[in-house]
Amino acid sequence: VNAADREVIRAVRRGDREAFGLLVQRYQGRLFGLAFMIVRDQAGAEDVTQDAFVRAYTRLDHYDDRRPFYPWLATIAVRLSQNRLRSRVARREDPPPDTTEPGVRPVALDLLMDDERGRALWRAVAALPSGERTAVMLYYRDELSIGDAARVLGVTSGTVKTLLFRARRHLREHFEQTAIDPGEIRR
Amino acid sequence: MTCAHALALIDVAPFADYPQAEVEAAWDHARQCGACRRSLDTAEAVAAGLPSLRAPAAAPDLTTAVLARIAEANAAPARARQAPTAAARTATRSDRWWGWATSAGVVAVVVSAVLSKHSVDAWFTSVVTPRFGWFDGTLDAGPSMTTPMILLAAGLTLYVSGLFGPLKRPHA
Repeated sequence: VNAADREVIRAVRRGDREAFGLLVQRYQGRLFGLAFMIVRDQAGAEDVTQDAFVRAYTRLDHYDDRRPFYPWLATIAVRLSQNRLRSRVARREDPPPDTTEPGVRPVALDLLMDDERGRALWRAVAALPSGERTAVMLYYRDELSIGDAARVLGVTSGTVKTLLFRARRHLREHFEQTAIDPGEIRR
Repeated sequence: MTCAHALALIDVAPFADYPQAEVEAAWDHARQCGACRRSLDTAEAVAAGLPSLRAPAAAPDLTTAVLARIAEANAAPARARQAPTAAARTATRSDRWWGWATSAGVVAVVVSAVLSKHSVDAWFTSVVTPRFGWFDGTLDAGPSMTTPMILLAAGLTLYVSGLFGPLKRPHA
């Protein structure tokens, strides 16, 4: 467990509400990226990120501080994102046009990404099926273990391994079909 | 080993316990096969790129927005404790009136019982006993039972209303 996180959480539990801002600053980038990858629209990802932090704050008593904080926070964000996707389907809303298809120019993404590098890979990951792209984010970008990623997703470790294997195969096939130079992916 | 088998093994190897020799054979095949070479380069590039996957930047005022919402969340229960809603106030007032009605009904019934006892005693004392020395079953004019009866009816009405009145209120 991150000692700094533990200190901050103890301070928040003692009533220091402002201390929670340190956790928000520390994890907002990772959490927003995760939510953005699942819901695939900026406004939705911001809502999910805010909701996840507020829910984490109000339910901090349920957090077991012997475990790392981020996977617990990510679990909340993934649940909220999935709920958002489900309600979008229930309302029969179309998914956001950007980043859904590999060939579609992701306008919002271009505005959000601070540089050109990494966009090709990001777009390809964003075009993966929901479970695969979430597993990729948790395992590769957030550096969670297979076990932690499984807990966040609410599935078994075997399922996470399958999702990651399929994601890598889909990404390889995608880049082969679009004839993007491997050097562009690696950068 | 076929190209498809070799590439599938390379993709799955990080997440499965395949015999090392079989995985190495797949890599050897992919390195030497012209058809697999590009796929292998792409697979390696994907594997190298994923850990440094860049995420879009979050809004700069996200921390402020979250803290503001937390302050709101903290304030809401406190407000609820301090100031009941208009509906809750109305409900409380209404409950109090029904409570008073029930109590008033009980008091009225008790008073009516006391009065009626006094009336019957007085009637025996003032009418029956002096005249006959005993009661022959014929009632003569004596102290009125009207007031106790009215009080009894009113008391029972108030009591029953007080008991069942609150049940008629629709739930919010």
